[in-house]
Amino acid sequence: MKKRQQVCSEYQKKRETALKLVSQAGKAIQNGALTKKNLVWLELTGCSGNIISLLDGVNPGFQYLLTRMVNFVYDNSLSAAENTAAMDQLFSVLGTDYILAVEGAVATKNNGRYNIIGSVQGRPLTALEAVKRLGEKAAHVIAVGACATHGGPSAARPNPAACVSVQSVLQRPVIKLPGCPCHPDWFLGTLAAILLFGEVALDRQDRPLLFYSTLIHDRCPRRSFFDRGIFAEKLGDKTCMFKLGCRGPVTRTDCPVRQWNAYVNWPVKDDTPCIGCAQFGFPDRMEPFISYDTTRREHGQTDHS
Amino acid sequence: MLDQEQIRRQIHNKLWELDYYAGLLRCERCIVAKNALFKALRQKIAQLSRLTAVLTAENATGWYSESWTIGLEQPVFTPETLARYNGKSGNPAYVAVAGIVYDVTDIAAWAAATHFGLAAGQDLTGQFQECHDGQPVLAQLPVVGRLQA
Repeated sequence: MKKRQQVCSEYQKKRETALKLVSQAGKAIQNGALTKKNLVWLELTGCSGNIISLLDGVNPGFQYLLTRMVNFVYDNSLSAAENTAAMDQLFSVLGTDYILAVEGAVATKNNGRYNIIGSVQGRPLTALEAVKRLGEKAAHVIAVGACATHGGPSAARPNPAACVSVQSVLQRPVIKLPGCPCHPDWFLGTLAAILLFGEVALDRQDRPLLFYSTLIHDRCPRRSFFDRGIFAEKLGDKTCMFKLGCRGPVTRTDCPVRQWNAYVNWPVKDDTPCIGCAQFGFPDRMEPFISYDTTRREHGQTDHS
Repeated sequence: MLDQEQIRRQIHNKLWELDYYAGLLRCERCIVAKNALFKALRQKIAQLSRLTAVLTAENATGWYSESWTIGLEQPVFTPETLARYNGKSGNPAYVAVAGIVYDVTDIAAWAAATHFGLAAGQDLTGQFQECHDGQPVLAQLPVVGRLQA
């Protein structure tokens, strides 16, 4: 018989924050207290990892978002419509009350021609133009994932397409949900809070405090090893991976509590250091992701000095 | 207030602790643990100096300070010697800011002796001022010397 996983009651409550907001928003829409808003999800320069992550959400799942929370008008990957019909669908939201979610960075080189996402009246539509046209008119703009929030892997050296964040091309507030990818709960909880309250409390870097207020290091189950100076020497060791290059001390998310893949695991629990994927500057400024040449002296080694 | 007999007993205990720490320091091979033991030794010496001072004069603070303030005994680093303390090959990780050299070996935000793309073993005054100017960050770092002007 499978042993049931025991979870701390505080952790359980924290894991349910998104679920509570989403359920509340769903009920408010069902009983007519709120009206459904349109949602457009643009995929720009990136790997589409954030929409895949969203599709993997379980509590609630993507179906709940689709049927109970919003009118999901457009997404590059999920749209059944093609060509002109798809573009008409995308721009049909202009003039309505809509929320724009953007994943992927904005390619700016050659006036955005490094990323063409469709064509309008026979003219190529760049991602740059699309995000500007739709971003300026949206009720809210949510940048989802590392690339959209700060450039992420798309803007990593040498950045041939001159990728930048969504904020860099829009003269308006943008809610930022960094992460590579963004956790489905972080997006759904933020969206639900916007639907319910019209806004969500943000930190100085425009991240929702609900999900990004705590350092991973402060909630890490291996924190006691750090405090006692007991460090892992290789991947697979069950102690603190600070010497190997863990970025938990500079990354703010609730990964240790919420965890991933239906709340079952996260990198540190699986013996790999946090690589700071939800920190601004990832990946260039979070490197090296792993290092064996550290302050820890190997046996037989002599001092330089 | 402690009487003289209690102070003598404490001094006796401190001497035993010092001897014990010295023994540990001699056996320890890990440079990180050596640094931790060295710091602990300095604390014990400071406590001992305060106790001996109390024996001779009331309100005396002792001749020894445990804080690693810049003084004549502090090492002076050139950019070349500082570069050796890059947190690799078992060496500690040091960085210089505004002429003072700090030990970031065990500072959480300096995992693998790197911090937001910056490596240890360098003068990071400009980078520090860009990101942390006005923040009480440096007060939390152990000082290990000063950078040659």
